[in-house]
Formats: sequence, structure tokens, C-alpha cells
Amino acid sequence: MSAVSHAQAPSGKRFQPGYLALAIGAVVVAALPLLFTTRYSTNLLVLGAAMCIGTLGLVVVLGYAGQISLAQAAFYGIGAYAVALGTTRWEINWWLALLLGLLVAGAAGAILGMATLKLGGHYLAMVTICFQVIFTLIATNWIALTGGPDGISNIKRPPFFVPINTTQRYAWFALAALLLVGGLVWWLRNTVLGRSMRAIRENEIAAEALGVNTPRVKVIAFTISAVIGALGGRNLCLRLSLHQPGHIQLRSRGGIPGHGAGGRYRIRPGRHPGSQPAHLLAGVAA
Amino acid sequence: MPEWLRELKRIYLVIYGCVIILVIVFMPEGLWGYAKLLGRRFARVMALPAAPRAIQVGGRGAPGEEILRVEKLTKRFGGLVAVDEVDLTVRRGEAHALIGPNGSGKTTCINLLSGLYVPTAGRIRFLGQEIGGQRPSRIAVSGMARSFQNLRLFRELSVWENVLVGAHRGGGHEAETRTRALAAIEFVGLSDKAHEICRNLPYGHQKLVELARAIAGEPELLLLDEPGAGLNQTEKQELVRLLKRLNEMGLTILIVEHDMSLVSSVASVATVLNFGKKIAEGTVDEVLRHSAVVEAYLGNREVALGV
Repeated sequence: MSAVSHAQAPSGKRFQPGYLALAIGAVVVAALPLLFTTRYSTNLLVLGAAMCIGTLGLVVVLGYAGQISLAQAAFYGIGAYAVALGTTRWEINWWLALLLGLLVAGAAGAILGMATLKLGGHYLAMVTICFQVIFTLIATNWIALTGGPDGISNIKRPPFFVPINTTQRYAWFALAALLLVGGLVWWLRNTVLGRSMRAIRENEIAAEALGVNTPRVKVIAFTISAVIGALGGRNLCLRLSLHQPGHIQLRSRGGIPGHGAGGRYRIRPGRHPGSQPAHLLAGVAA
Repeated sequence: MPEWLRELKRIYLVIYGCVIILVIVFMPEGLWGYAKLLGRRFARVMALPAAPRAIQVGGRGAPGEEILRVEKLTKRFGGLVAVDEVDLTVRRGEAHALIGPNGSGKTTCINLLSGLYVPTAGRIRFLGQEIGGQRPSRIAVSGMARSFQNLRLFRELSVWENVLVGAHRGGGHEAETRTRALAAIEFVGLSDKAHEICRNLPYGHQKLVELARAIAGEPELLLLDEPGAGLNQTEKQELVRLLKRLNEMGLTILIVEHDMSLVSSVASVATVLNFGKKIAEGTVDEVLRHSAVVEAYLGNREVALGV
């Protein structure tokens, strides 16, 4: 997809107070670890950030492309398990483990997307739920790999420019990732790809007749959403340093209504900043 | 954490459910939709900048060359033969009308050409390439744009975004895409409505958005499926003016329409279908006087009179 060059492009935009609100929101989010300093509330922040990132993945597939996906927690789990297994079992570099998780999640997302190309509405929802259930079952029962219900403990911290060794620093790390992913998802909205996704959501036949290769764009949407979901999972185990299948189920319980609060099920343009606070709430509630 | 919060744990699902219900009832657009609604009061809507250039339709070939050639095109739905061995040739620069009584297979023809239906038999050559049975998106990218009989707009997107998606077809950088979209919106005269959500526009304007979206990709051939349906006289006149200008600019048009005054003022050549078969072809005036056409539309005079 061609890059956006805003420089000399006739913009045709209007002044949106939303931009100002977003900037203020970003500053507030960045300041949160300073406002909430107890260990408990900082933990909540990290959890909330992890869930927000997972939801941002949903924003792409459900919000932009209009494909109902209830398998987000599975991708979340893939990201978490990749980092957990990579750093403890195989002892590879933290970032390499993350990359591995993103690749696996992306591949799983692409496969799920391809398998569900012909489906829409309730049927798509059912298949994605099944994917989710299968993943949870595997995570719980493949004890040799995942440690079963006990999960994986002693997950390593990421090597970073500054050592991430206090809860507050974890929180900043997680929130920075959240803002970065949020910015990327926001940017995606007005690219050729993002607009094609939204066109598919609004009217698939019209999009196809205008030259949007709908199967390809749908699979890409699933893939991006899976990768973002895996990033969220990475955040989660970053803090807990213990990963259990229960965490993935938890996500599927708290997350979907949280997203519903961001807008009724059929998601409409520019939804994602709405789902963020909603999700922070859901994260806290869960 | 304060001690009284402990009680909350027992009823938190109730609270959670209540909040969800309240949000769905009072903020059906979600939190962000609500924020946007509030923000709209403070937003200044900026008009679109003037387009740097006019829309360039019509492609690069020589006028008069064959652009679309359909041979023995057939489509069966079970036992029903909707389109029966239709031959059709459209030349560059032509405004070609496809007319016929209700149920004669006109829309099916358009759907076959644009790839929404796969032909049962027959060949479709467009710009020298066989396109029968290809994906609609591939056909669109190769230079054929279409409008729909009952509108298929991206209802929740703005006019600007609708037309931008149409402009993707032309490729190139984002700046070029935007230029094409601006030019298309300016052409149909919707520059001041560009940031409205399509769903909120009156029907006549929605039809224009569909036209703008179709031409924004600067196609070689434009298929119009009943562009005049549902428009009042004034809107029809405006549409005729736009279509004639597009045709003068070199755009090849294949139009399906019921309104004969619209057909005769836009199109020069016509093909008439009845029960899926081609019954006449020629200039619009010729065709409308053709006995088989009159019979198809009005019935057989002798039979009606019982002679």
C-alpha cells in the first residue's frame, strides 16, 4: 500500500477537536504512573494497558473491517506464551521471543482470516469463538509445553536502554507501547488499506466493484489484528512474570463487553479511542 | 484500597451490566461517538480546497475503437435464462444505452460485465483482455467502473471518504488519489457537502456521490445501472447534463435506464433486450421506432385489439 504523503496533498480535512483531545489524552495516559503510585494500582495500569492493546487489534478487524472476531484472546495468548516460553524454556533474547510471537500470531490470524473468508455475521462469530475455545483447551491441556493450569513462571524482563526493574517503569513501558500501537492504528485508518477496510465494512459488494480486493484486505485485517493482540499479550506477561491459561479466558470475559461500550457491535468510524477508556474500566473490573 | 470496596465484589456484575445497558441506551454510538457528538458543536467545517485539475476520464485510446466486445453472453439461474446469447459491442467515446422492459436482463447484463455474476457461457473482452468470470475488483482495476441500481454507498463514511475509495483505482501516491477525488467531487458539485456522512444526504445527492465515486478512479468505461431512478425532473436534468459532459470529455458510457427521454438525450446508440435476448440495435431513434421494440414495450396491437 502506498505511503501517505500529507505534505503537498490537498487535504480536504476539517478541524477536528478530536486531535486536541487525543493529545491531552496521551499526556494524561503518560502521567498516570505518577498519579497512581501504589503497587496495586500500578499493576492495574499495566493490565489495563495490555487489554487496551488487545482491543486495538479488535478495532482493526471489527472496527475498521467489520469482521466479527471473538478470537482476540487467543492471539493475546499466543503473544504471551511466546515471550514466556521463549525467555524461560528456550532462553532466547526477549525481543526475539516477542518477534517470534508476533510471527506466529500473524500466521494464525492469516489462517483464521482465510478460513473464514466466505463467512459473515453469526457464522463468523461462531467460528472465531471456536478458535478461541480450541486455543484455551490446548493451552490448558498441553502441559508439556505450556505448563497447563499452573502456567509459566519467572518470565524474564525485556532488556531495554534503562533497566525495567520497578513497577512504575513497567507501567511506563506498557503505556508507551499502548500509545505507539494506538497511534499506528489511528494512522492506519486513513491509509489506502484502512479506507479499503472501512469500505468493506460498509458495503462489501460496492468495495469489490470499486477495485478493493476484499478477500486480501480481510485477511490482512485479521493478520494485523492478531499481531496487535499478541503485542497486548506480551505486555501482560511482562508484568505478571507468570502466565496462566486463566489470563486468556479472563481477557475474553472482560474484553468483549468492554469493546461493546466503545460502540454498539457494528463498529463505526474512529471508534478506537472510545474503546480505550472503556477497556481500562473493563480491565479494572476484571 | 478502602475497606468498603470489598462489598462491591459481590455486586460488581450487576453494576457492570447496568453500565453496559446505560451506555447502549444513552450512548448508542459508544463513548467516542458521544465525544464526537459533543465535539461537533465546536468543529469548524472547512470546505474542500479547489481541485488542482479537472477529472480526466476517457482513457488514452483512439475514439471509435472497440473497447468492450461481448459474444454470446449467457446467464442461467437454474431453469431461467436471464441473458440469452447476447452480443454487444461498445466503442470508445460512445454513450451506449441498454434498454428493455422489466425483467429483460439488463441489470443481469451489467452484473455479468462487472464481474458480480459469473457468465454461464459466452465471452467478454474488455480492452483486449478476456474478463468473463474474473473477480469484480480485478475488472474494476482494469478500467471499468459502475454504479448500482439501488444505491450501494458506504453509508457511514463521508462523501469525501466514499469518493477517495473510488479514487484508489487510479493508483499512484496519496496526493494523486486525493487530487482525483477532489476533481470528481467538484465535477458533481458536492464540494460543500464533502464532509457530510452519506447516510444524512438526500437521495438525489447520494446518487451524485455514487457517480463521483465511480468516476474518481478515472475509468475507461462507466456502467450506469438506472442512474435516473428515483430522481425528480430537476435532478434528472442535472444528471443528464453531467453525463453528457462526461461523454463529451471522452468517457465511454454504458447506461441501463427506463426513462426514455433520459436515454435519448444522453445515449447515441442503443441495444434492446427482451426476455434476455437482443431484439434490436442501432441509433436510439431507429431503435425506438423498431416494430419489435414497440411490441416488447406496448404489446402486440393486433393481439390487443383481437384482430
